[in-house]
Amino acid sequence: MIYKVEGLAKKNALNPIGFELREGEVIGFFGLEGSGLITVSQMIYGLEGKDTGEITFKDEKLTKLSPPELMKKKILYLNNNRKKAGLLMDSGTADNMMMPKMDDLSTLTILRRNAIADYTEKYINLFSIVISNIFDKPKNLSGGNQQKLMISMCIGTNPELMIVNEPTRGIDVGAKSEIHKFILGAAEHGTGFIIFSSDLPELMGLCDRIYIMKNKSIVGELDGDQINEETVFALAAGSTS
Amino acid sequence: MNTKLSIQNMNQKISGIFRKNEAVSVTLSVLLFIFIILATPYALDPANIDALQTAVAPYGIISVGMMVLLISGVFDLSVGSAMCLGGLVAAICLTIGATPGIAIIAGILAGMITGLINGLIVEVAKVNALIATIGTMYIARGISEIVLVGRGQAGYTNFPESFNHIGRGQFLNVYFMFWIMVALVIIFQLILKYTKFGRQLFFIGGNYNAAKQLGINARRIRIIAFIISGTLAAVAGILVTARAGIANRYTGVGANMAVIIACIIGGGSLIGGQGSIIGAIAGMIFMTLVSNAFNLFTIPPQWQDILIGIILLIVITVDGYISLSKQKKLGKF
Amino acid sequence: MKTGSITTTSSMSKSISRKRSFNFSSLTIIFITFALFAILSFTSDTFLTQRNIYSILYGVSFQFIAIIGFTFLMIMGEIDLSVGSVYAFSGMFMGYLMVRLNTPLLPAMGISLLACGLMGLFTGFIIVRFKLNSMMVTIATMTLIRGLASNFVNGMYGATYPPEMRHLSKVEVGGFYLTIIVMIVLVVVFEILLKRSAVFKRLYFVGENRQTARIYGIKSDRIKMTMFAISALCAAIGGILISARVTYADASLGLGLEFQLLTAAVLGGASLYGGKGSILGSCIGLIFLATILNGMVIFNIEPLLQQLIIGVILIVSVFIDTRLNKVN
Repeated sequence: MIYKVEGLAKKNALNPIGFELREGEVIGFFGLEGSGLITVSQMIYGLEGKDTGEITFKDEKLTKLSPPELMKKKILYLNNNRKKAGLLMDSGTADNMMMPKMDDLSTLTILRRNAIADYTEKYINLFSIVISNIFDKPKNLSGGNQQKLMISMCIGTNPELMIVNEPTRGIDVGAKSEIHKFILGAAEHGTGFIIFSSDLPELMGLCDRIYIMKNKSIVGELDGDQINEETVFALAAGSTS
Repeated sequence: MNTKLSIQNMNQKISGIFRKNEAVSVTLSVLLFIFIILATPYALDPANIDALQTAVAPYGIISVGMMVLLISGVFDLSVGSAMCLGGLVAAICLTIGATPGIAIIAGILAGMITGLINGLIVEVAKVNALIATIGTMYIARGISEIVLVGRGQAGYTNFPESFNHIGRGQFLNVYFMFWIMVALVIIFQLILKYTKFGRQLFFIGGNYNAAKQLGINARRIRIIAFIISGTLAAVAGILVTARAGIANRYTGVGANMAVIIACIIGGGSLIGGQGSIIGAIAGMIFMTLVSNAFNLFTIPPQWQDILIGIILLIVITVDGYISLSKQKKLGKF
Repeated sequence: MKTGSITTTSSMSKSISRKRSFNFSSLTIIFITFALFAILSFTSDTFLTQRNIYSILYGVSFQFIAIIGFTFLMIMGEIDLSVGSVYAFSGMFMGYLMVRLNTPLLPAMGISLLACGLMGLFTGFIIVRFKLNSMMVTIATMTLIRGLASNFVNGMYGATYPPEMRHLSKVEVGGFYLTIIVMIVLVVVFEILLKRSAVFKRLYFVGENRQTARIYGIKSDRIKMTMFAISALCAAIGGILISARVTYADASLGLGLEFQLLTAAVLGGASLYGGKGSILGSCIGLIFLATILNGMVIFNIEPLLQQLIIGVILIVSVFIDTRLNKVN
């Protein structure tokens, strides 16, 4: 088990929950609107405060939950709404790519332009992002390419764990399957994934285990064969007693 | 998006906030007033009461308009210049022989036009309110200066007595201008609380885009708010000019900041969506009382700025802290 | 590298352009100022003299120091309306220390700068900690600091500053005032740094979308606080120099400076919504405004018309800028 969350809670936002990610796993969270999905993902990445909760990563307690600290531990985050937060729509693609990796790509704070250009090109090619100039702005790219760009930004830092929100929301089928292929491939190579999604088929295709959330609590955990649409929806929608 | 829910949320936000905002400035004013009365006999001296009235009324009137704007999410830095322009236009009319009635209408018209221009620049040309009203502030002030070229220090004077009476006359020992302010306060407080227009102002200030989605014509309402602000500024300018019997270039200098500060103390916010007319007036009364107290106790004026600055900081910080805690309780942050 | 099952064949590596498109946000203001210079040069023989241009640059160099920190904040999407007050305060405080408390030059300067830096840090702290609107907070600090500065005006009783202090504004290097040289050097330095330094790039990122910057590990809170302190320091340094030039504590010093700086910065390409701006642009903006005033003096135009013209230019230029760069 490489990542474990215990007793994560916040008054009015999240009831106490706990989950874990084991070696080589891809786990998912499924829930309908208002179930608390986004809250959990933001809390474990430090974008939202928590009242209680302990997170352990590779046998080390994560005491400082903030993006800079977590990035140091190679934990990255993919937001669910790239327009609102996730991509700088009005800045060049190369600028976006360098954001999570600025220190590595600069010497004495001066940015190494060639290194940045190489780095950007590498991922444009890797993901077949359709773009003609590395300084083109994300707002001029298609949804699928934007999403691929956002994923590249995280991947480029060689993460050990990725917290992913809605990885393929609003993009074309081709890009969708490319991203799925990528996630599975990266998982094979040892990157852990916690995927928060409202797209059940997607989760079923990617995850080894799925946690189902409802009303700000985890109401179920399904493993491998147990996962089927009926059971999941029964848990997620369920009758409110 | 569940629009019903968002209207409910907005309503909740409005009623809860109403109570808090006025409380601060009203309490401060009352406490300070009591303190002054107890501390010196001169406080209730008729001359002092006169001074208080004529100091509060003009800026108080402008504060009404400014608060309306603040609630809708914008503000107007040109009010001082509009004030000067309003008085000036009236003065010029009088000088060329118009009746006071016409002169007043002309002055008010000048304010309305200034407000309309502000509204168009901000809402149609989509220029940021800060920049736009700085621009119109410069332009209106510049026009005033140009018109006053060659008139010497005094500017325009020698108005008919009937005109001056508007600024100097009293009813039941209270200045006309003070009554006008009170009337405006009542009218606009009622408008804010009980009319659709008032509700919409809060919605627009609270969440401009959501308000538009709910079908509110945010642009038109804001333009109307700007017109109100400009008009009231001109009204204040006319009153001040009438009382002084002079229209010169110094009218309204520094008014914009004083009014904005009064409104913030009174519960308004530059972000929009909160505030009340009573709060604005209480804020202005408070600031006037501070100034009065400093005069009565002969404290050097710079301490006034220091005190106001500190109070503003406290009000803004506490307001922010409360807002932050509320959001934390609701589960955000 | 975790590529998994995504195939990377060399046929996929088409050539991707690395050419930066020429996006010079300060281009507009440079062009307009150039045009203005041209017009004035043709219509008047007193404009393009070394003496005149020199005096324009000298006058601008004082406000320039203040606009450096101001521009950084604008790039981040914040605004500091207290610059005028700090501008007045720093020189007066230093003068007071030297004249009334007999403090020598350097300690007096140090204490004043320290005080201003701390005030800026405090401002930044409460803005960040309580998530407050910078316009509102700096209106409050503007009032407060102006009050403090006025105290020193009174305390000085109209005395002039000591000669060592007054000399600060007149230091020359190679026949040119040091302040002008510093201005030119800093413009070049920052123009390069803003484009090529990671530290300054972050300002743009935070200004464009604070949430996004935060997700990718940029410590926007800490950077913001620092920048408020730097803004105060810049205003303080400029203030000490201008006080030295003015030679005594003038109560009207710095009044309206915040609006002048805002106008200059916006003309120079900065946006109130953040993510844009440059030191070069702000500097040219200041030069432009100063040139208009200069031109009016030369042609004996009522200087009061200046306000009007600047108001119109401000609105028109922002309008054009909004039209050209429609983001939302």
